[in-house]
Amino acid sequence: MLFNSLDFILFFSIVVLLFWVMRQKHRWVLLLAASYFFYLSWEPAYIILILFSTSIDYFACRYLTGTDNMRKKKIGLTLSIVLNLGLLFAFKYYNFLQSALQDLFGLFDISYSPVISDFLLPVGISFYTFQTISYSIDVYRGELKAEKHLGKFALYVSFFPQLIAGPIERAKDLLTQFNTKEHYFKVHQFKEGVTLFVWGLFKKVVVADNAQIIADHFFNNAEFQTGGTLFFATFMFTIQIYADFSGYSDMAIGTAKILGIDLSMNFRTPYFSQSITEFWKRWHITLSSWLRDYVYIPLGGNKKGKAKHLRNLFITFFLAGVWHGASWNFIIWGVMHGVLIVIEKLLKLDKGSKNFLLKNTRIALNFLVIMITMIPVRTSTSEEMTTVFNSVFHLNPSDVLQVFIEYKLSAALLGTTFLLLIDWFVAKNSITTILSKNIFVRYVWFVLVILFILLSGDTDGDAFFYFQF
Amino acid sequence: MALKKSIYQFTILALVVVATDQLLGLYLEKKYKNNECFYANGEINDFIKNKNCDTLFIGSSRVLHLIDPSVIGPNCLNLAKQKKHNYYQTAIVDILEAEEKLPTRLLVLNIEIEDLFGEKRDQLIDQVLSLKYYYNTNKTVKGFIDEIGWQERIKFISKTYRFNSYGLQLITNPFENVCPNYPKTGYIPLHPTKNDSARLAQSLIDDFKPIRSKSINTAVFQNILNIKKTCDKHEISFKVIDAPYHKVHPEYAYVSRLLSDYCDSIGVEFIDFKYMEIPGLEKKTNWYDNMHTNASGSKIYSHFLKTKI
Repeated sequence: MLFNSLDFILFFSIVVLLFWVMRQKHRWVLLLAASYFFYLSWEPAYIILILFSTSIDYFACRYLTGTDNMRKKKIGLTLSIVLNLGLLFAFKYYNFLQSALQDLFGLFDISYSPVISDFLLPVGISFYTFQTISYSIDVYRGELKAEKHLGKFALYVSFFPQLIAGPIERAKDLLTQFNTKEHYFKVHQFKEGVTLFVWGLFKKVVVADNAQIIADHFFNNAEFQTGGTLFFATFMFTIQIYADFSGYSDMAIGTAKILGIDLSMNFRTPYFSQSITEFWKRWHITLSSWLRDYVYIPLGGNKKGKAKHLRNLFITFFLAGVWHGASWNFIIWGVMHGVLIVIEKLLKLDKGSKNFLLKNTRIALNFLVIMITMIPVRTSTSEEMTTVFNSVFHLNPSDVLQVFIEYKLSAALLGTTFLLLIDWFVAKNSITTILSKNIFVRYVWFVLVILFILLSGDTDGDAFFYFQF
Repeated sequence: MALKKSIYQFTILALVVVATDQLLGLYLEKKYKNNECFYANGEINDFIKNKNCDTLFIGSSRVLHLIDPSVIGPNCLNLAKQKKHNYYQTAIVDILEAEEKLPTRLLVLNIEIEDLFGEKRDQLIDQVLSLKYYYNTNKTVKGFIDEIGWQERIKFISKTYRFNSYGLQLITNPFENVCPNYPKTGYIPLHPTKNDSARLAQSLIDDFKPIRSKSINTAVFQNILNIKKTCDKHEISFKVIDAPYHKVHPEYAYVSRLLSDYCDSIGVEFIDFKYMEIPGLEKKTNWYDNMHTNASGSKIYSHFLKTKI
């Protein structure tokens, strides 16, 4: 059941209606049932993984809260982390490791027949395992008390708006909201929720899905394309992945808001960043802050000298690449970002400029760099990646212009222009803040977005790109 | 108080959206009907308004780029559409019948053998979505689209949705009915390029992946039967063909036999060009990829086809 389907809208309308007529103390039952139902509609068998992860973390954290013995605490934490990462490894990285081993042995002419697992990647596993790991670490550090209510904890792990592709929520932000006693219907929150949901839907069905059609068209025959068309395809893919993922996040945040629950902001107009460092403060914010708090800072952060600081940054971004997918392409992507951030630190380019001209030049150049780093994400083999890199670095500018002109009136480019204009306009605010100020602007925006969806939205309900992570 | 105000505002907004949807729908209806170019189904309008033929070829890209009607006869036309297979073609025949635009002598349907594999069913139904303009007026189109799910009926409440995916093109095309490259016979040749041999080699890898599902989509048989009934009603001859491949996927043989047997059983002639030796087509230089001949190959195929129908 996808957010961009009428099935979801029907399901969610029923949940909303029941939620607000129900007494507060029973609402968690409804949300938990709805969350499990939502997950069962995806992959019934894999519900067992969520139940397993929930049980392990609940009992491990109850155990480590109940003792002052540091050794026992460590055992509890280790159990939680090892089992969660074990799940992730078994379902996400096992096959990749096997084929990497085969390649490695192949270098030395040693024959190795890997045992390949047939399991599909369970949707949302990368998101909910990171969420539960953060819970266990926070409880271990004493920053959070272990939740006593198993049902509410289970809801924290499986809360349907953000179960499949985040935002990755911390227990102190989300779980505490399930325990709030005063949880009333607020009109402004409901309106904000609907606005965000509609905006997310626009990003997904108008911009992302139409951009995908163009990107696929060129990437699927990459070897026969010119540098200009592949540059355009890479641009379209860069827009696709942003509109897709931030669209999903907006819909998730909007859905939760309609239920009176606030989720963390996950994107803040990232393509208007002046550096890669700034980009990561505005792109998939809940993942970057997770990596900062549970990888980068424990490694020493910037406290142990420059060399170690740069090493820590590199390791963090390498792991960001690994988190995204079990393939060399994602590792290359992570490494590219790691290297770029290290260079920025060395050249002191990580701070933004306030000069209008310089600022906008840096935004454009940074976007170009982000675009180039997207090539490994989109391509599936090293040959394809090399072909695209080769063509893009040997392009004829007039080819680029020609293809942009050819597609200038396509839904993808018109939608992209509208999206980037709104992004530029809202800058660091949320779209809901801007729209709440003027009723006329709100009406025009709504009518435009809805008509755009009706006219050009891909209404077949294609899955979101980030579901594969 | 705030709730009342919001309900009031929401009602106004909903009314504005509904009114705009209706108005835009009317505007697009006019634009759609006037469009006779090779986008947003303009080629169907052009055919309905301006063309008459005794022989009509329908199918997907393997008709669009392979069959040159001018080789076959003076009153022959090609109404094929890229990536539109069996379900779409069945709906097209129904639309032409309703518009009294069926050919007077012969209708030739090129079947894509892969349509018969069960795994393609959803894809085939989705292709009919490009005919959603006809949802309210054509039972076959409505029937196929409704098979997608209950949600489709809801979407069609909107007047604008009937133009979804091509509505923007209708609005943004400033040159209404100026269609410089639109071929009169409906045939679009694939002119040879320097990449042809590489593309052919690549397609020989891509097109030879094993078929995952061995189940047969029998609805394709039913569609053929429906077209035959329509043709019988109008005393038109109906033939099913399968265009040549450079190399044929080994798993197609069994399904082709099933199709041949079925066509025999309902009295439809099935001409399977993919297993025929067509002089000239053994040369790689006549191919664009494994499934499509280039312009010179299409001339050879069209001449050969003429002798068989």
